[in-house]
Amino acid sequence: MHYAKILRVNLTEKRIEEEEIPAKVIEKFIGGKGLAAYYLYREVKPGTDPLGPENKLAIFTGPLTFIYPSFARYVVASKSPLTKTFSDSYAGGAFGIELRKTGYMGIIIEGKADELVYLKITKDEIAIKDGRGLKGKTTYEVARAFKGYSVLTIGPAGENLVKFAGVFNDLLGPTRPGVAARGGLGAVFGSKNLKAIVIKGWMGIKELVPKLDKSSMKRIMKEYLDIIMKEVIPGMGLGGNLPAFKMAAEAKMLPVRNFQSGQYNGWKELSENSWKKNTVDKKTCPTCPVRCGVSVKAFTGPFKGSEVERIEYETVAMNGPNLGINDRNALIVITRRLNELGLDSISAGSVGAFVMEASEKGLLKEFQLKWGDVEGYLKLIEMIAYRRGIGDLLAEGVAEASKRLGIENIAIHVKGLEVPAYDPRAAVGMALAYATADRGGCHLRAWVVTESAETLTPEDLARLTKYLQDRNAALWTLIICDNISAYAADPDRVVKLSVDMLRSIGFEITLDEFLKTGERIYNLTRMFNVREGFDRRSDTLPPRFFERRQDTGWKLERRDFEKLLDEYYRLRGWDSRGIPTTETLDKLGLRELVGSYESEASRHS
Amino acid sequence: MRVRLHGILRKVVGVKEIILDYEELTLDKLFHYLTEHYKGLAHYIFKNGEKLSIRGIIILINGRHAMFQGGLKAVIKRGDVVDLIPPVHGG
Repeated sequence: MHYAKILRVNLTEKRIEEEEIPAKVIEKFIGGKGLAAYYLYREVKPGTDPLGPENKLAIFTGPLTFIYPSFARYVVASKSPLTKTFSDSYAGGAFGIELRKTGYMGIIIEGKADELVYLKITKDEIAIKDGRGLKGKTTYEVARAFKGYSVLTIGPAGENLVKFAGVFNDLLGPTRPGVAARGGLGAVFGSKNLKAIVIKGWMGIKELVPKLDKSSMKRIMKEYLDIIMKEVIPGMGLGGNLPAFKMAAEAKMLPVRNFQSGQYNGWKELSENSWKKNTVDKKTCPTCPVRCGVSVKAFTGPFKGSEVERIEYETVAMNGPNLGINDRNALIVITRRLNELGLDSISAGSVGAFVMEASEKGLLKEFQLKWGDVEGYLKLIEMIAYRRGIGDLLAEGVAEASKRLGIENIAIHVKGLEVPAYDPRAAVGMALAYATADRGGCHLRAWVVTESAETLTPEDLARLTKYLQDRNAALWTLIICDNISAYAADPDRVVKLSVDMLRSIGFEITLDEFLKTGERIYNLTRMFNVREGFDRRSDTLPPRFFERRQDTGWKLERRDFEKLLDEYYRLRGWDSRGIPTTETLDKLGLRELVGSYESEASRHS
Repeated sequence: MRVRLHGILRKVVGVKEIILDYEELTLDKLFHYLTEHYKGLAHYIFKNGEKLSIRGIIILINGRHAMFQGGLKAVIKRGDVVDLIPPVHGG
């Protein structure tokens, strides 16, 4: 069995320990999302304050990270302060590879430091260091302070416990930067007084995988690189998933003015072709030939000279048409500022649109912001990051802010996570995907809108959603890049190759077992959420998506949505409340883990 | 009844909209008609053994997805509007 260990860092006790991951745990959960879910389920008790010292951060790589090309990503997971669910966010860049090169599959961070600290991991030193000098620094300033290292950091927003603050890595290159911003896990860093993690790995592939089957590796590598070169790279166009903008615009599923409509006439200004005029560089993650990171610069107008290392579809859509902003230069400066302050661009775009709609409709007295007001939006971002004025309320996320303001009907979120850039009244498949995503309103767990599958019955769609969620949970144990499966002509071939890769490094696993691992993980994260009180009532959509769209007349009826949910629960082996049945937990080998919690809880009750 | 095409389907078919003069027909029949007259649609709507199959397209009948109206057996009447939306790649 593959040997792996983690670092456990207790910030309260200033203690760092090395810990072996039990072989049976690796067998069941493999790495990445699986291990993060396992440790968080075991160690974060239900009802834990996400911003309290009892919450934990799990930062993991996968067993293939650094071993095979393009496996460069890491996951940061925790109980989210935004959603109070299990939450996992992924990013590329160099950090994942540098972490893997330390020989640790992951890091568990617990407790809370007395003062601001950072964690340093190098061959010569693994230590909790005084970080007071980093207080208030932007993500770029922190990156600049540690040249020669891979730096993962939060910005002022994370320090100020903004509930949609993210973590950012490798912002100053030389690789493509990484942003893991969904779910507000930057605020969890902030709550622990942990500003950054600074890493320089030192191990080679031979040391990490002594039993590497080189001849299998050669064959697999050839086939895998073939897919990347012949299918993924040509399919990606400019990169940053920017080709999706044109397709989403033509399909009338863009978020326009807080999802009030989906038809957007000015889309050509923000399309892939137009972004080519601003592109100054293409960056990639170490070991990956794709070069998906589109670096852009403003060459004209009031923001001339502004640059950002990476722009992508969701950021453009959520901060463009969703806010009535149709200016690429403005989007460059907005994205740059969000990155500096350390905010999630999807959530920020949703909060901005919420404020603009509320202003327009006279629902907000203390603050006004018009559609398309770039300067005003930039000020709002600042107010949120530093919790000034109404920014203090908005820093809680759109769900909480709308609740306190009594205008929940215009807040676009699922379980507190602001919904990304596909209107489910057009992309109907995304309705079920958003509602049942384990971290709240997310498109990546089941990216149904990109699938060339048949969805002629509710069962077809429920089956597809379940399959994608399980498949992706399995692939995220390895933390494969989502672009590979999204652009490969046959994603299932990528899944099969991933299993071959695992076997080549010593795992004894079949394709069925691999996919079952994904299902096991998805049920475990569901159980994490169930014991926090989530069930069918929270598997829903914002009211707007059940209203008829004015521009096209498209509508998702509540009864149709409930039917989808029924089908989905049935296929999952969950009861009508959306809770996994005992048989399902048994089938997936989760009873021991989930049961041990139940008996522990009953002892305390 | 009107069939409105979106995205790449417009290019494939060559028009934005197709108007059909029928009192009533099922989605299955409509698809037979469309694939017979617009060969470019074969990538999205095709025969899988005896039955018709689709690849990724979203079908809305009067704004409501066809899957909730009987799928291929959904009935389309005079005056109804059918929207055909292709899948998005990447995002």
